[in-house]
Amino acid sequence: MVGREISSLLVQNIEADIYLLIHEQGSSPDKEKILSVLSLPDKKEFRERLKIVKGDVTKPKLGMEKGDYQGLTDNVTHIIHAAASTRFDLPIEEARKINVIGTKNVALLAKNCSRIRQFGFLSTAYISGKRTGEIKEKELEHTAGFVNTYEQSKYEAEILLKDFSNDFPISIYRLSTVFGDSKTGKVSHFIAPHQAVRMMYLGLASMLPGTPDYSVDLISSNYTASTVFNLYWKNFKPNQTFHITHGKRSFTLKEIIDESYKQLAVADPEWSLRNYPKPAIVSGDVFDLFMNSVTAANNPILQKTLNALNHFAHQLLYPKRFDRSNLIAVLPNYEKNLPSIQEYYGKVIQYCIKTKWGKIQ
Amino acid sequence: MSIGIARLAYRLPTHKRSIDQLEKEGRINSPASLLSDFGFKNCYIQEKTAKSPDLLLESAKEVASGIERDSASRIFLYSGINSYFEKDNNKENALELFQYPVAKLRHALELPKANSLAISQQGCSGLLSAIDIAYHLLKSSHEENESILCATVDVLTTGTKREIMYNVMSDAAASVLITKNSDKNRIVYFHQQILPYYWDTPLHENELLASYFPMAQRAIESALWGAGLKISDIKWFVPHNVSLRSWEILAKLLHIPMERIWTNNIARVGHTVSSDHIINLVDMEQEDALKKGDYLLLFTFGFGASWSCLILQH
Repeated sequence: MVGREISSLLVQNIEADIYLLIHEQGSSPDKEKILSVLSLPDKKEFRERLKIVKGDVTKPKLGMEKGDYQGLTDNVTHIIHAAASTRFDLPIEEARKINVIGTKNVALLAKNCSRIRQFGFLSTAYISGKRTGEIKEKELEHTAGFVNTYEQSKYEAEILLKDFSNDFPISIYRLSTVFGDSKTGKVSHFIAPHQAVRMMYLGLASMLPGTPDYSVDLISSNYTASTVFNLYWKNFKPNQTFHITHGKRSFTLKEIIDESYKQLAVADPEWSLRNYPKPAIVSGDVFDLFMNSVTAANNPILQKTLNALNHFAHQLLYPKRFDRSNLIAVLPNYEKNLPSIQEYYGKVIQYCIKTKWGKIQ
Repeated sequence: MSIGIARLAYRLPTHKRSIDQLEKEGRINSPASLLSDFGFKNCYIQEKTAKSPDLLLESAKEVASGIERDSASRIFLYSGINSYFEKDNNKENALELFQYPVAKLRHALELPKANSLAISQQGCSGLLSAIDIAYHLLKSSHEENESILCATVDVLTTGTKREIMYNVMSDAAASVLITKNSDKNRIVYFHQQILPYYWDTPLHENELLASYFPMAQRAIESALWGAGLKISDIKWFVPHNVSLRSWEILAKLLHIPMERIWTNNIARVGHTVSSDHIINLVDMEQEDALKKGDYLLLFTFGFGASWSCLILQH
């Protein structure tokens, strides 16, 4: 979710060759295009240090030619594994293929790298699944279950990485929900919360499960990327896990619904004349009953809408707080510099409307 | 002064079809099994024959029988279906355009002083709104013994499918007499939430489906607040007879047990545009479900779009 932003920081701030693994599907993009996607100027220096490697994390040896793979194992000293499917609705086997097998294949690459010095893994704070209450960074295993296959597969990936902890130093960065750039409002990856706002914009948001005071933890992509960069490049701590979350100053569920309607009205005054009602905040069984009715009625539009919400919305029934002791110990000014969601939420909403949720540039 | 619904009556057509029969005849959009899961069983259809009973007249006659003829100051005739007042407009003789059903009703009921007026276009909310108008007229009137007759009739045109938004639709007529000194069904409070943007029903079908529950919750809570009542004060929720599933969802949303919602007529009759509440109230009375002093909350949604609540005290 912040792979682009982290790649951009690495290219700009590190005097080293950067190998960027691009999915082998489709034609090979040229470097200029990649630099543009990474929001980097087309500088000769960047072009020379950025090496594009095509591959597929789901395949053994990343599906690469022997020579290419060998080239990596000979040269690579640092790896950040950010490749993942962030879809919440994949069947578990598909999610595992990308997020667990993919992690295993990247970890095997690291193990084969003769000069490997550190391995960073981007995970999610929601590997805690259906747990409630305080979630400590050092905690991993639990039996509470998961709301969706994304959470489950990332959890399993973290479990798998424990097997490699004696092979190379690993640090894990568990991100909260990445919402958008705090300065520009830009969203590089539209995910469930953006879709939820879209449903409100279309007047199709009927209900959300949860409680009004549930804390909806959203973080900015730019601050998350710079935090990961700082932790990984400047302050690497082997065998430590970090929660990169918004924390106490997050919106509550009720506040975020209110703020969404307020910001949608600011961004599109004509929309506000429709007076769409705000979605009701309901218990899980009401949401499920409604979901089942819509499914039974086979209404394609409402079904699509609810499916988009269904795989993440149930997380709103499991209130939790994320401990950040490790993070604050390394980056004591994290909280102070954290962009307030209240200040940039509107920018992200404007970006969503302007780009029609990523459909137009 | 206790303005309330003193008399009430309804009529259903004699011709009844099961939802399986409707499915075989291609008169529903959804499978019969789905509509059965949603609580429906039957549908009443008014046949267009000379022998078909006049549902409207029969229900109105029942509530008007025996009243002082001069006491009825007004008749409001409501239909939620546009075509009821607009049928056969293609007349050669322009005078034929002025054959008003409400004038015919006044004549048949022999209520010479009743200012009669037809009203329409509020979907299933129409009769509750008519009752609210009647309430305010009576409240502001100085006549001691005054009553207003509100009648409603909804008969779908021949060939129209018998399902609207997953609800089985029956034809029906119902009438109520609102009096100043009613010994039952005192009108406590009426509240209506409207969303004018949704006026184009086919265009906004999905938005309407999505907004139904949050608006329903808001309308009911606002009505209770306006009436100074708590939800626990309501003995019976008298529904519009839309899908049982929708009432199960709304019940959970409002934290009320299904036992407090009179759902018996969803299977037996289905939804009738604007007669549902009267059908239910008459049956509740006949089955001795109502006790003196019970608070009743009548809720409905009407295309156009409005969410309406009428609170009565039996």
